[in-house]
Amino acid sequence: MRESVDLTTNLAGIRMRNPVMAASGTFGYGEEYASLIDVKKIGAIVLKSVTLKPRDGNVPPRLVETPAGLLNAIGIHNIGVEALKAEKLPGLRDAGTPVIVNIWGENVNEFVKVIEALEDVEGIAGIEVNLSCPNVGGTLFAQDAAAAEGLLENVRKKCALPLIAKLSPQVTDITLIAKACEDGGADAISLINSFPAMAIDVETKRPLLGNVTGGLSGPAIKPIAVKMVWEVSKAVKIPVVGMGGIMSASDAIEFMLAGAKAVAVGTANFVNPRTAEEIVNGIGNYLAKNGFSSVSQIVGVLDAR
Amino acid sequence: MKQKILSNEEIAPGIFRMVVNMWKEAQKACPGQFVHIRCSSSNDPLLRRPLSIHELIPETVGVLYRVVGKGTDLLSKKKRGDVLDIIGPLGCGFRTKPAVEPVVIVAGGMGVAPLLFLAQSLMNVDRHMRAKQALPQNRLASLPLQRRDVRVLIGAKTREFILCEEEFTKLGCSVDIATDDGSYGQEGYVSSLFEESIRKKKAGQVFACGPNAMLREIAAMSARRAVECHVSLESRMGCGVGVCLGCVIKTKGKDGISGYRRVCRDGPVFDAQTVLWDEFISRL
Repeated sequence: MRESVDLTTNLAGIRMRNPVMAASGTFGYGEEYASLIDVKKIGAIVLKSVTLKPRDGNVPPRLVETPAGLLNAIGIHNIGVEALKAEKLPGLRDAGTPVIVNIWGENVNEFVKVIEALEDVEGIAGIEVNLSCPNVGGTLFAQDAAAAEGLLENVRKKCALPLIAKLSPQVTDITLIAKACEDGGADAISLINSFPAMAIDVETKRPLLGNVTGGLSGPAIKPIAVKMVWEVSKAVKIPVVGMGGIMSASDAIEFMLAGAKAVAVGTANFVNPRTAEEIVNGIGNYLAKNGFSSVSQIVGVLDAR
Repeated sequence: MKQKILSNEEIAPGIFRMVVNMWKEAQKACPGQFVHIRCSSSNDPLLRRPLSIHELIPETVGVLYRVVGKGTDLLSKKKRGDVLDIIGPLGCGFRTKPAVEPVVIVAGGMGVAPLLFLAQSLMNVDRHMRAKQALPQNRLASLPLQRRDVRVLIGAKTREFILCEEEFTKLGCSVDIATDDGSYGQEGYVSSLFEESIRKKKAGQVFACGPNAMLREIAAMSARRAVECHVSLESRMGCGVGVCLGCVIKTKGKDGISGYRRVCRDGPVFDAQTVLWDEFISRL
């Protein structure tokens, strides 16, 4: 039954075995999970945000569990682009799945320098531009349409690879930002990043995160994410990657019906490292059961009359 | 990985010992490593709970835990025969030397959790090594205990929270006890016992687990006597495998440069002299 179902997905030129990706920051550099799962079964992996220089990240505690959610304030703790090139990317060439590098900078200039450092590096299928980290300083490009468009234009000039713009949900109208990214040259939009949030210890009267505030992810934010994916996919012509609290195939299918061409699994990787793999199987079963021959047939077919 | 619960008993008020059948994975376990347990199949609580491996007995793994929140409360209600989703063993454990130098183990409260497995391993290195090669059980049981000088110091608030005294004694360790209220053993903190112990007799290595304030003291006392000290630390964890960078603590390297290291992957056992204690404790 399953053989008749086509899960292959072409995301703005990134050819994936299936539409289920591992979200940035939740899958390390692919190697940590290698002993627990078969990375090849995942559509693509998006690496942790990389910056021009190594970054230490925020002071701990960096995590708090909240009802059906996870609050984090990691602060783009990463090894820097040169170490990524020297130590991680060579090994990832044999990962058997497309590798997407997520980049971050404090300003346009830094983003451009990171993308320049990645030029002509082998084994990168695409670039995700992080416009939306809630836990660091610098310009929050995802909250300013003109800044977002300008950033994408500058990165675009230096980048021949498919370019994905990752957006924040904390805006008045996310479609404006998405359109600005499209105008700036993005090939796809991914959303949503974690939602800015906080939690307090009532006994100590102190914030539970060292950084005071953080970003909320997990099932708690899924309905917000589904709505925003629906809005954005109607507003832009480029494909949308939906994410935010996806735990199961049913969750992933919701995003696809709302208009996402692909989905990304984030926090769920921590709960069950096999989530993405299980979702791939679940989508296949859903398609077969409902008489679809290809996964593209369910993208954006939501009947919202 | 689904594992069956063999027993789950309250051994002190609010403290449970759970034994699960996960021999295949656990044979490779080293003392100080942990397992990452999903306490509920629902989304709340969402994350797994990391628990140190407490005992490794052929075919089974034991964990010791205190009910502190929603996850451990759910865990405490599980019954024999129930199935749990467990990942592990994970992390880097205690780096023991094969030498016959005397060892001091210091446990504060729930800190006994990883230390019983450590003592099992120290007292019977032979058996542990052979267990890894999966010798038949009947042969394992007949292997003699090692004769090592392992001094175990256990501290807790009151007598009822002194855990595992009998287990350590049976392994052939010498055991000394301290309670905050003097209801059992010496009155006061286990750190006083430790000070006395290393003053009387030199130790080759010290292994400690317990409250952070206690660990800082043990670390400082060990440093003064130039004794190698390893501590097992706790931190709120996300993934448990090193990808989320949520559980980090600040440490200083041999080169003197400080940086964050992951409790789940670089630890949970750290060389006590690399931990920046003031920073670690003020952040909790």
